[in-house]
Formats: sequence, structure tokens, C-alpha cells
Amino acid sequence: MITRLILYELRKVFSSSFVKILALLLLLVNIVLCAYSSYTPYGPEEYVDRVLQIYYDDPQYFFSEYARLENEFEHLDPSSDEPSSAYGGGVYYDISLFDKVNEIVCADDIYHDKIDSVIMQVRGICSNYEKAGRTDNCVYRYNKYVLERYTYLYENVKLDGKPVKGWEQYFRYNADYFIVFILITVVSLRAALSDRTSGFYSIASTCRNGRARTAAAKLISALLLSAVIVVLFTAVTFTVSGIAAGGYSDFRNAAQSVYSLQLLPLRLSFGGALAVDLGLKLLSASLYCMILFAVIMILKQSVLSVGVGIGIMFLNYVAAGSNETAAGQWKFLNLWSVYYIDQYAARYRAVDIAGQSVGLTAVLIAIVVCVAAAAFIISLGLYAKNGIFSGIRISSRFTMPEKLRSMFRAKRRASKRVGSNSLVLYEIYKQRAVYIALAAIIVIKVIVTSDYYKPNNTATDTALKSYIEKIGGPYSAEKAAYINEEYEACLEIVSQFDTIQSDWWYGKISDEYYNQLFSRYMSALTDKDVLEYLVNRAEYLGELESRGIVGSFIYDTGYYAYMDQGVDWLLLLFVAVLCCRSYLYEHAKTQSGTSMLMVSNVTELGRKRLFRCKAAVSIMSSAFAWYAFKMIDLFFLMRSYEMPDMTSSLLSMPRYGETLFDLTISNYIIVTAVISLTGTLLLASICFCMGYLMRRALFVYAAATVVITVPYFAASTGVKAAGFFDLTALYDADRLYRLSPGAAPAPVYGICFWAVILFAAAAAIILSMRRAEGGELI
Amino acid sequence: MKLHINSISKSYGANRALSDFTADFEPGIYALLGPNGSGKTTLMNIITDNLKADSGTITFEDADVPVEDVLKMRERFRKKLGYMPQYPGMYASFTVNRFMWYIATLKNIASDLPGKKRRAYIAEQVESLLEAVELDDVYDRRIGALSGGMKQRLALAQALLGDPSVLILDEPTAGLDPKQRIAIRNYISKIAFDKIVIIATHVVSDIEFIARDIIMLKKGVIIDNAPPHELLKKIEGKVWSLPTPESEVADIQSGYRVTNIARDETRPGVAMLRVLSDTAPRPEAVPVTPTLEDYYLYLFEE
Ligand SMILES: Nc1ncnc2c1ncn2[C@@H]1O[C@H](COP(=O)(O)OP(=O)(O)OP(=O)(O)O)[C@@H](O)[C@H]1O
Ligand SMILES: [Mg+2]
Repeated sequence: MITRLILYELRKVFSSSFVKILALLLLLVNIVLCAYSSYTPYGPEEYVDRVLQIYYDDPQYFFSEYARLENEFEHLDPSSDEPSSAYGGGVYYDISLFDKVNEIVCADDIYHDKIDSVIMQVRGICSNYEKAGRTDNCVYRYNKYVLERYTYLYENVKLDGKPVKGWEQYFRYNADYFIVFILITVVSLRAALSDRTSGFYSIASTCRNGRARTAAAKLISALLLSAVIVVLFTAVTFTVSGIAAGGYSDFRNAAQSVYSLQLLPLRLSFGGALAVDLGLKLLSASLYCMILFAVIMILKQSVLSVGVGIGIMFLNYVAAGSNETAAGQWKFLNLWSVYYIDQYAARYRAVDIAGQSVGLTAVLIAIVVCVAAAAFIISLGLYAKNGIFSGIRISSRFTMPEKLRSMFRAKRRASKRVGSNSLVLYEIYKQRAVYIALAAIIVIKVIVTSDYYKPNNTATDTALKSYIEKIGGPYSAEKAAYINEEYEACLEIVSQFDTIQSDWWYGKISDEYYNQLFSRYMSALTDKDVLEYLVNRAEYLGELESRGIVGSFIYDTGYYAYMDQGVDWLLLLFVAVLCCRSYLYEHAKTQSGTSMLMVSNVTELGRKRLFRCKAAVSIMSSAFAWYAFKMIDLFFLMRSYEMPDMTSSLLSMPRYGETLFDLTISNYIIVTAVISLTGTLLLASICFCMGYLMRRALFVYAAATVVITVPYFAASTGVKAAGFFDLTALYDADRLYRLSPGAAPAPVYGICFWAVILFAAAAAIILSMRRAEGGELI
Repeated sequence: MKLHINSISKSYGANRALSDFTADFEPGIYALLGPNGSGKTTLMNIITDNLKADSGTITFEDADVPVEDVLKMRERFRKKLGYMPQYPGMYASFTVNRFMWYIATLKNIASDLPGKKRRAYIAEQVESLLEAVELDDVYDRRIGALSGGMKQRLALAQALLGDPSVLILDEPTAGLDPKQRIAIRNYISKIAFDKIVIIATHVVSDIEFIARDIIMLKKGVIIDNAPPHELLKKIEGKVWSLPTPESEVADIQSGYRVTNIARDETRPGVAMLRVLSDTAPRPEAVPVTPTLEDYYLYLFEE
């Protein structure tokens, strides 16, 4: 019975063309990203193979040749000679080719050396604990198990000394997490809520199997679909990285041959590692799916659920990068780490539960079981609750007492029932929830910002400020010389301290004198760092001068704090939701089937004017929000930091050394502000047009999420090309400006990037304008 | 004033929803009568430019407008138009009053009056319309909290805002209670003298006495377009009243088209059947005056 219900649920999800299109789109994105991250256009492979052949033909000769090259390299004069490249076709150094081949053919020895060093270390720790008689604690048990485990691996793992192909690329790729999870979010939402939005729920829930069983069927079908998605995407990733790397080497070889899996605590072949990787991905995805499903059941509201889903995705990703000492090994139990074998099982990991050392996998399975139980209980319990119109409705949760309410009502009745004639006010009224959210977001922003711009009162920063007070302003050789002298003096003081201390120890100098010297030493210690920084800066500015540009010594702490703030996700969230919703609000179908647009289309102002009004309100509100956010930033920045001399050249800071234009700092700050405003407005218009053209909430929000986040995460996981499609880079204008230092003048890239985005935005706007003029609108 | 619809066709894929629809409309009430799926809503969506026709044109002519295509007129035509969709979507969170004001704003009512006077004008119009559809006492209730029939009446009221000269109503009385049904019918007939009113319905009694012309639609094709009395002429002498013992009712039903069964209060055990037939079904049958409903069934129940 339930299997048949599950089949129906699966069919419902699959019948949605939106899901199919999105899946295809994401699959495509995954293919592109994966190909990009795996593909190495040229490399020394060919030469490595040749040298490897030398080894196969005559190992003796190989090693003697290797020894000769090593010897030659040691006696090389780095300033005049180049290492030989006879085997490398004049392109690659022989020594590095031989190194590489040596690594391959001696992989087994290298591996065993490595494991041996681990074993020695752990044995040391264990015997220390044993000597102290403290064997009843987690650390001891953990190390004991590690010892056992790696000793086993030491005895049993054998690497075959053949070159590894393809596997590195496959295990390295890790941009699919977000792509897969976004798709799972959409699929789960459809499975959970489509009946509610279509109104079918009120029919289904009166049928005998319409409640608990349907809920179970929905959850199970969401899980099945998640599994299918994971398998599909993994298969695609595997294929694409394989193709890009030119095939895979033998899958029976030990997985430890790949560097990132060297300390893998399991005895696995590549095939086995692939299977475990897939298993982990399935676990991670199903965990997410179940948590999300329960959330949907509680909220019964798609927009909020998507928000929570993205939050979960993002937090887990952040947790993976969190500080290990603070979070312990618990931190590896986040969805992101679990998703990738080289993150999760990079070494043996365990957590401390009541003094016992419990392996991570046991904990993970326990968590999965608990979450599954909770998800089923919540879903079965809540699916049928609250009737069809439920969902989070704040107004009904906090109802006014009847007495108060009647007072209000009486008052309102007395007043004349005159409404407004301003379309703008109606637009604002329709979006009032979002504007109220903006107020809340601004409060959060104030709290976060005031915390971010804490006055920097460290001794280093104070020292920097006082030095800049002395030498601030345009670079000159004298200033550079002064800094160098100070630095030398400082080093002198630091190096002399050992003798001073021993002098004092032996009573050669008085306590008083020693204290004086000691405090001088302490301040020299802080100055040393600052001066080192300034010496480097002076060197850089000197180089700049030789290029004909006059840089300045500036106090740049506050400036960096301002520029390195990164993306304001809260603002982007507000802008995206506001603008997507603008037309979604009209497209929303009621229970009976038609949207409000059918009515407003037949009015004088209901097409062009309404479109313009909505566009204007969306854009103005986004601009206002941007302005408010910038003002908050500037306020707290000014309160806590002194700004550098605004008229000095931007190139005074080495991070801009490769950029093309020489601006003053104040001009650059204005430029970034303008770019960031434009970025915000472009996001606003793209979201607005998507809301207009795509009509369906789920579709629009998913598309917006993809457009905003996928390039960002792809770029942050190392796919550089994705940076050029990254809208957030436009918002964080400093990142955009420096997008490609060194490779080519950054502004050129910036301009290309703008051209693409502007073109897309303009096309979307023109398209929606045309639709607003008339035509088929239902 | 004249609305001329000239051979409009519309297909959804292979399904021909409307073929070659041609009709002229002048002030008065027109009924678009047809079974489910006959193309009534499709036609109305095309007139209101919510849907593009595959072919055909619609022109409008008035004292201030020479003959002109309505798609070219755009705002100028929509200014004269009032539309009540079949299943109107309305903002659940708006109150009734605010919704009316919003539509009044969209319709740009009295835009030539100065601010204060304009608001007074709209306020008066909103109030009188809400009174007419008996929603005045719920004017500050959320639309989401209205009953189905109340929503239906609100949708009608919004269509009437701005005193449109072409009024398109898609099943305006669906879901209304009998009292409201009569009230709405009377209200429409009262305001219709200087308007073109097109009402789509399959409830014959709604328009029987108020329609000036009746257009019968079947699978997208016009099969009749005439005033009610002319339609009735076509079945004069074909409607019979036949007293039958209850045991024989099923018998008659299998042989003839029975449009109504009533109990005869004076004779227990006997039913009065209303039968459609070219000749008398039984000797005891008496011919009766046909109604539009008989004609509708005559046309569509084959
Ligand atoms: N969006 C659509 N896509 C495909 N076919 C449609 C669509 N809308 C209507 N149709 C088809 O067009 C035909 C006419 O439909 P229409 O809604 O105009 O009928 P109607 O006369 O208004 O019916 P009812 O009395 O039930 O309201 C039907 O066969 C219907 O299936
Ligand atoms: Mg219809």
C-alpha cells in the first residue's frame, strides 16, 4: 500500500517541469565546474611517463641518474645557473621530474615512513599516559586505538608504485555540495508542500490513507529522490573528472596513494573509497533532507523553509572551516565534511563521550537514526495538523484581546473610509512584511557592525599609528632609510637581551637597570613586527617609485577593516526577496485558480504603470537599503578608526600593486561605493525580472539562490572563472577590482564582467516590458 | 456604442476552444450560454486581452471613438471595461475597503479631479457599490476571511467601479444564495440600460428575463444567437406536462427527454413530468409554455 503511495508522490514531483529544468540546469553547472576544476591544460605528464619508463627499463640507472641530478642541484649557483632540463624537453627541470617519479615508484616507502612517524608519535603519547598511570580517559583511549589502527594499516596497506590518474581530481572536486543540496531543497519542498498549494490537500486528507501514510510516503519519496540526486551527481562528477584527467588508473590500488587520503584510517582500494564516498554523500544528503522536511512540516511555508534550508547548508559549510581547538572533532560532523571522504576521513577521528573515545562514524550513525526518528514523528504528527490554511500566521498567534480590538474597530469605523490613490503606497503595503523584516535586519546589522568595528587598541596598532605620525605622507628615500635604521636598532635590542639577562643573572647589572632594559626590550618586541611591516612597505614603495608612481606611508588598519568586510548577505537577502516578490505577489494563484493579474490587467493603469511603479519601488527600496547599510558601516568605522590620508595614491597599498589605474584613496572609495550600489541595483532588477517572467515562487526563489550563491561558492572553492559571474563580487567591489591581480589588469576583467551582467539585466528588463504591454498573460 | 467581434478563433494545442466567433454587441445584456468547456471563459479572456486570439479582431466604436481595434486602443479601451473573472484571485490580506480603493486607483477613476474631491468621489462610489452588493457591513474584514459568496460579490463590485460602459461578467452568480442571486440579477438589469453587458453562465434562470440576446455556444461554435422569445418559438408545442404513476417514471425517462419531475400534491403516488418531445408522448399529455431551460436542454442534452 505504502509503496504505491510513494510511487504516486514520486510521480507528482517528477511531473513538475520546473524540477526537471532546474535539475538539468544544475547538472550542467556541475559539469562545467567539475570540468573546470579537473582540467589541467598542459603538464609534465608526458615527460613524467618518459622518466618512469627509464625506471622500468633499468632501476639501477634511474637511481644513479637521480643521485647525479641531486648532486648537481646542490652545487648550483642560483644566481647564474639554471637546473638542467634535458629529460624535460627544455621546459621542465630534470630534478623535479625525477622527484616526481621517485615519489611514484617509492610511494609505498613514503607511505610507510609517514605512518611510521604517526605510530612513533602516538606510541610516545600512550607510554607517557601509562607511566603516569592515567589510562582511564578519552585521550589515552583515542591514542591507543589510533596506534592499533595505524599499526594494522602499516602491516596491510601496500601501494603498487604505479602513477595515479583521475582519482586526485575526483576527490579534490568539492563544489557539488551546494548544487546537490539546492536541488534536494527544491525536491523536498515539492514533495512536502505541492498538495497544499494546489489545494489537493483538502481532498487527500479526507481519504483513509490521506494523512499519516501520505506524510510517510512523502518523506520516503523525498529521501529516495535525494538518493537519486546524489547518485546521479556523483556519477556525473566521476565521469567528468575522469574524462578531464584522461581516464582513471587501476581502481584496485590502495586509496592511500592519493595525497589527501594518505592518512585514511581504513584499508580501502580506490573502488572501495569511491563506494564509501558515495555512502557518506548519501548519509549527508539524507540527513539534510530529513531535517529540512521536518522544518517544512513545522513552518508549512515554502519561502521560510527555503531560507532555513539555505541557512543549514551555509552554517554547515562554515562549521567545516571553524576552529578545531574550540569545537574539537565534533566539528567534522557537519554536513559538508561528511559529504566528502577526504574531509571526513582524512584521518582517524573520534569524540569524547563521557571519557570514552567514540569513533565519528558511530556518532554519525546514531545521529542519522535519531534525526530519522524525529523527522518521521514530526512529519506524521504535523502533516495533517492545523487544516489547510495553516502555516505560520503571526497575527493569529498574537491576537489582541477582544476588548481592545473592538475599541480600535469603533475608532476606525468612525473615521472616514477613505483610502489612498497612490500605487506606490499600495506596493509598499503589499510588501509590508518584507519592510518590517528590513527594520529587523537593520537592527541586526547595527549589532553585527558595532561588533565588527571594535576599536583596535593593540600595542602593535598603536605603534603603527605613532610611526605613521612620524613618517606619514609621500615616500622618500630618507623615510625608508629611517625605517630601516629603526628596524636595525630594534633587532639589536632584541638580540642583546640574552646577554643582558645573563648579566643580570650573574649580578653584573643592577635590578633597576635591568628593569629599564627589560621594558625597552618588551616595547622593541612589539615594534619589531610593526617595523618589519613598514620595512616591507618601504621596499614596495621604493619599487613603486622606480615605476614613476609616488606612494605614501599610510595608516591603513581602518581602511582594510572597511574593505575586507565582504558581502552583506543580509542586504542581498532583503533585496532578493523584495524584488522577487514584487510580481510573485500578483502571480500567486488563489485556491480557486486565477491570479490577481487577471483583474488588474483589465484596468487602465494595471499594465504599464503598475509595472513601472513596481520596478521603481523595488529599485528605490533596494537603493535605500544599500544606503542605510553603508551609512551604518561608515558610522561605526569612523567611530573606531582613523582613516588614512585620503589624497594619497591607492597604490600605496601593496594589494593594489598590480592594478592599472592610479586613483587617490578617496576616489577609490567612491568608485567602490558606486560599483557596489550598481551591483545591488542589478541584483534587484534581475530578481524583479525573474519574478515577473517566471511567475512561480519556488522557481523564482530557487533561480535567485542559484544566480546569487552558486558562482560565489564555486569561486570560493577555487573555480576562478566563476568569479566573473559572481554578483556578490559586484557588491563587494574591492574583491571585484582585485579579481585577477597579476594575470591581467583587473579593471579589464571587471569591465568584461559588467558587460555580461548588464547585457543580461537589460535583456530581462526589455523582455518583461514587452510582456507588460499585453499579450498572453494567464 | 458598439463592440464588434470578428471571427475570433483560439486553440489550445489540438483542442479548439473557440472557432470563428462573430457577434455584435450594443447596449443591453447579452447572455453567453453553454455547457462546461464550451469556450465562454476563453472568449472573455480574449476580449479583456488576458489571452491572445489565434486569429480575428475585436473593434470598438463609441461617440468619442471611431471604429478602432481594441488591442490598439489599450488603455483607452480598458478605461471603459469592467471585468469579473470566473474565479477571481484577490489579495487575501487586503480588507474589502482597501481592495476597492486599490482597484479604483488602478482604474484611475476621476483622475482629472483635484486630490480631495477625487477621494470624496471615489469614497462615495466605493460605498454605494459595497451597499449594492451588501458588503457594506464587512468593509474592513480581510478578504481571506470572507465567505465564498462574499468574495464573489466583491469581485462583481470591483468590476463595476468606474462605471464601465462594457461589462464582462464570467458566471457572476455562481455560489450565491437565492436571495443574493435575485438581488444581483436585478441590480445588473438596473444599471445595464446604457452599457454593453456580457454575462457568461450556464444557469438559465439568471438571464432568462433580463437578456436582450442569448448566444448559445457549443464546443466553441455559436449555434444560436437570438432574443429569448425567438429561441422559445423553436420549441413551441414540443414541451408537455404528463401526469404519471411513480412506478412508470423510469419507463418514460428511458424513452423521452424529461426536463423536470414534480410531485402532484393533489394526487399521491402520481408525478408530474415535463417532457420534451416533437409529438405527445402519451394521450394524456398536455402541451405547456416552453421556458428557456427547456430549450437549453433541448439543444444540449442529446
Ligand atoms: N489554459 C488552458 N490550456 C489548455 N486548454 C484550455 C485552457 N483553458 C481552457 N482550455 C480548454 O478550452 C476549452 C474552453 O474552456 P473555457 O474555460 O473557455 O470553457 P467555459 O465555457 O468557460 O467552461 P465553464 O462553464 O466550465 O467555465 C475547454 O475545452 C478547456 O479544456
Ligand atoms: Mg468558464
